[in-house]
Amino acid sequence: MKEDTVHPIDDDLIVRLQAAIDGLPVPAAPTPVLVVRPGRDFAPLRIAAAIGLSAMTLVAALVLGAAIGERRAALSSIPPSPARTADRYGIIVASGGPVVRREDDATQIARLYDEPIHRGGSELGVLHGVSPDGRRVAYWIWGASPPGLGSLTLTKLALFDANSGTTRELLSLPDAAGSGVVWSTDGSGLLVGVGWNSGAASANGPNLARLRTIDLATGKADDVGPAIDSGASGNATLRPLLWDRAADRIVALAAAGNANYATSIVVIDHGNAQSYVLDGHFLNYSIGISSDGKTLAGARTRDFALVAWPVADYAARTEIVPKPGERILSLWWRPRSDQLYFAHDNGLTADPAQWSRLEVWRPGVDSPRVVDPSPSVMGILFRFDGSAYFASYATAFNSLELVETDSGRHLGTFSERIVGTLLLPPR
Amino acid sequence: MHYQVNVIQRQLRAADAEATWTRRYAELRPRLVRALAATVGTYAGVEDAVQEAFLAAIARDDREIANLGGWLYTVALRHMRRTRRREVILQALRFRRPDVAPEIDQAIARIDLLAMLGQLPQRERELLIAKHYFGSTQDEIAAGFRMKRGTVSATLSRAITKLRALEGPE
Repeated sequence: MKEDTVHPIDDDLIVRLQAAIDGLPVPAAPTPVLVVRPGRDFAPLRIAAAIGLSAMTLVAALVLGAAIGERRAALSSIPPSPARTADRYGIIVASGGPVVRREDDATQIARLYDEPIHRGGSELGVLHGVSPDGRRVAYWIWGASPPGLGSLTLTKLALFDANSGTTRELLSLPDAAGSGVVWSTDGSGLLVGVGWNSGAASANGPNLARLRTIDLATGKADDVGPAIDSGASGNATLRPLLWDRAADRIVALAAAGNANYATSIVVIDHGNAQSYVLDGHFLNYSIGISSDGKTLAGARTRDFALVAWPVADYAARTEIVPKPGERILSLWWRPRSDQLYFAHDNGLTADPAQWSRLEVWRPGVDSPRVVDPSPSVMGILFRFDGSAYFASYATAFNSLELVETDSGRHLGTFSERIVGTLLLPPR
Repeated sequence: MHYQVNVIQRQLRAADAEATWTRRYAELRPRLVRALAATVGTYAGVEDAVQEAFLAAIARDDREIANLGGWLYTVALRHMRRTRRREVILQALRFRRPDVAPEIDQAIARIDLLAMLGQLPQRERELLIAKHYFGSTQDEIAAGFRMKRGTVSATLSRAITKLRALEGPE
């Protein structure tokens, strides 16, 4: 139907009205102090005052926390603690773009890129992967989108080498957008997902996606596996999860239609691609793989259960279905171990929701154990080697506590928004 | 409410591979906040309404939403109306003290054109901004605001005329 036209004099009025609205200030977004890591769930976010915790609960949590923390050492699968090299542990901080610095020194070592100029004050996520040895970081850089992909997408892939302190560009996508990056298990290459718009589909995102490997020694990039096509509408996403070069295996999740939910898992063994369907609406970002590449886990929103399964055998899955009124939406694999950490919340029955406890589970091996009964643990971010994690508490919204994983000992408090960790050369 | 906020934030802060919603949130939230504040004349309740709207959008199939900004604006307005009605009742029953206008609201009053916009009836303000700030079509507005298309057209025309009159002669 024909739209009514606006009188030319009114055009100016409309333009000035638009400018007047654009001139209004925008309060800071309810920004999280921590993004657990790209592709991961991080919990909550309203200011601590909005999360009504009682003093009694806090006192109980502190007492119980001390007691239960001591039991952590009894877990049989805990990997040996690395030497205490706090001065070599680095963090990536979101500060107008990702910035690298030492845990114990606020001096900036490198800025990976500048946050792009965009409308609004909330900082975009930092999509990256840290090499198995922790010394290199591969990361996507935001840029103006190719046609059909919106206004801002991940258009360049770059590498930061902590030993040399240098960055270099690995990949530029003039016609596509990046989606995820993982290191090969031997640290010799990268696996990324790319998506593009065929032109026949919705103009708001990629409707075609595929995986691409990059060999770091030669710089050679190769497409692997089949492309997925979401058809004339809806988005298509392939997010890489594993590249085991020794076993010649690649694992990725596929989302077709609604980009928020993974629809299937793709496993490519020796070049032969197979896939299986995920039922029950798994949140895309919740799905992760264990360090040994054998087990996948994700949050199934149909019943808010935590589900873990062997990579190639979904039928052999094990599940933790929460108690009535509880949900499990947040999970984190501890690096260099088979331990899966996860958090409960009671958002189904409580308003505001509270995070009831942090647990650890070795799927297929033992039952979950509580490692932190605090009702306010909202999210964690492991150091690249799993030796400690940054925890975000509802009771201290603007800071993160660094907690030694094995002992539960608090190592420090941080006030920045930490998005990643790495290993830096000695001073 | 906070449960829903948390759900949204989880989704938006995930920054997963394609970062679709993170990007949309980063791009659209400031526009929505400004537009809603300009529409209702206060920032109070705006952030919650924006979160509610994103929650509703995330739960839907993207394909059903042609103009995401306009759609979010309409949904957020609906939420604000519901909330406002509830607060009026609570205040009448003295269960809740009236909100004190945030200091940031002064920014709206300081911009002449927005001060004039504030003199229009709320429905006219809503439609003006949906049409001319978010680019919603009259059909989309009619569907979103549950009005007849003819009424949308007439309301928009009336609003423009009034706003021009309020501005006075050039």
